[in-house]
Amino acid sequence: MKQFKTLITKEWHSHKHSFLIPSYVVAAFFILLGIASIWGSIRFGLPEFDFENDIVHDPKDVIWTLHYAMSVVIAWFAILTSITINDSMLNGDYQKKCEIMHNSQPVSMVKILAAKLSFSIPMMLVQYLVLACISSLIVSAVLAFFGFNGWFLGLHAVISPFLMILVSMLALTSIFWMFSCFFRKQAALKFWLVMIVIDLLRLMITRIWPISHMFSPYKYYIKLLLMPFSMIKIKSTGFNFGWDSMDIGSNLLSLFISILMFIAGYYLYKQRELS
Amino acid sequence: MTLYEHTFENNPIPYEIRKVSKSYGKFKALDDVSFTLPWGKIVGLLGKNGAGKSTLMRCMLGYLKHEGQVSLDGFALGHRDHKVFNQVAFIPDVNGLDDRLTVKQTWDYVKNMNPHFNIDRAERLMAKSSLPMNKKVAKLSKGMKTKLYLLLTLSLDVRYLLLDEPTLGLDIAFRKEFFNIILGEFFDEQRTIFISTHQVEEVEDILQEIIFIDQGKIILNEEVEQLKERLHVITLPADRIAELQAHNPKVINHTLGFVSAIMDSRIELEGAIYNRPNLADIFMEYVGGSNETV
Repeated sequence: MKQFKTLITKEWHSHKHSFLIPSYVVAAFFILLGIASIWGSIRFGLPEFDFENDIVHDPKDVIWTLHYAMSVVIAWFAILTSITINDSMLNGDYQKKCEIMHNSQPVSMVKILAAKLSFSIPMMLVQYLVLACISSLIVSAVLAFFGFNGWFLGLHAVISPFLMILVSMLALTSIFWMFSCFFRKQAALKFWLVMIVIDLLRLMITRIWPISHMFSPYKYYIKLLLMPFSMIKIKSTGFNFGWDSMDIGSNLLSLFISILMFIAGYYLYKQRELS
Repeated sequence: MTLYEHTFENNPIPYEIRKVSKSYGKFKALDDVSFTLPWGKIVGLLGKNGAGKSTLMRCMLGYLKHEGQVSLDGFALGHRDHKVFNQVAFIPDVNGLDDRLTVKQTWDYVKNMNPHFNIDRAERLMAKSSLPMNKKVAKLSKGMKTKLYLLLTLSLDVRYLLLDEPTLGLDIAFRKEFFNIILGEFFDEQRTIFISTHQVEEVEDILQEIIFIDQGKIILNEEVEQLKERLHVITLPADRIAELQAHNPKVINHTLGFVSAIMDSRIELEGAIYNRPNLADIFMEYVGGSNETV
């Protein structure tokens, strides 16, 4: 456990600024929003809202969607950061020429990679959740100032996309993880190149043979990458987060593929030679 | 008794390299290398640039895949087998510290990662070193970085220390300090130092055993004292060069009015001057080539 904590600490010291990109983005957004609001209030006075009559037919829908959108945008930044950080964690030691130092300790490869993975997925998810909740609370506090009680509604909207975001993050991070384990440089670029080549082959095959539905990994990962923006659904209520409407079969398959990618990444990484 | 808890008494051949070969495409970097690293010795690895010194060390540590077998305490070591670092510490030829960390973070990292870290010794060494603990490693001078790497490595209670050109690019004062620290802090009868270096003259006095490597092959593995007794330098006036050439030495050195060569100590020539050879001379005799390569 001491070694695992040390490995996590090392990742933190080496990648904390990259890791905190979602926090920096959210902080910058609220700071700019705050400045704009103060400036607007001084210039034009405080706005007045009549939540019962002025704002569309059901203000709850609008506010729920606002929180939901905020949550998925933060999640999207977290997913992109997780993908980027994978590459720098797996290949940063090589690029900084300190690979030998870190691999000259009596610690197993499983532990080293588990620490890197913990940093890029569970810790990133925690960051996303904390940021989404804080953002939701800030928005709810502002709305409360104007007389609308939307605390629970906001948190409900923040939690609703969590499972989809988890699946999306696992699927995307795992494939980039595997590529980063294999390629020491520009793994993300090589990933997209491989996807494009596969898709071109797929197109050629479908032209030659009459195959109507052939799986396109390129489209699959593009869809996953844009998933946070296509998840907004009809608001669910109470303690129902709408998770029952998820496609269990395809999500379980996605989870299974993710696990395979992580395992394949481990074996590819273990095959590396150090010089 | 568990893995790596063997003692000299029950296992007198602890670090064994058997028929190790390593190729990069068609280039054979190591060719059927076999030797045993004994306990309690300082062993030098000498070879020209590209002879296979670094490749050999990296194979011994499991960093590189190779043919043949490397075993420690009788247990075969596989590729990327972390268990080797329970008994072996390594300083590579390029400074490999993590520039992103501070000195303190690097210290904490090794301390917490390596169960063989001797805190008392490390604190004593660090106190003497005057290294700035809160400074980023990236901002240290090359000498300071090497010192930090050395101090951290010497703080490990391991039986083998592998040094691959550790003083490359350092000034002479620090190179002397480097070897003094190693001898004072690490070496004892239970520990072995295996060192490859170009600056053979500065380790000549401390080496007990020498291995010459050329084109990936071990061409000599012998006790230094025995080697120096087995060979001697014969110097003759320049006009008697034919007498030296008759014994087919690989290298004949020309000095003002004289010629000299390394030969078997049983060879005696009338009127010749005999001297004890140094390792650089012996290396040249075995490997040939220019002095710059030693």
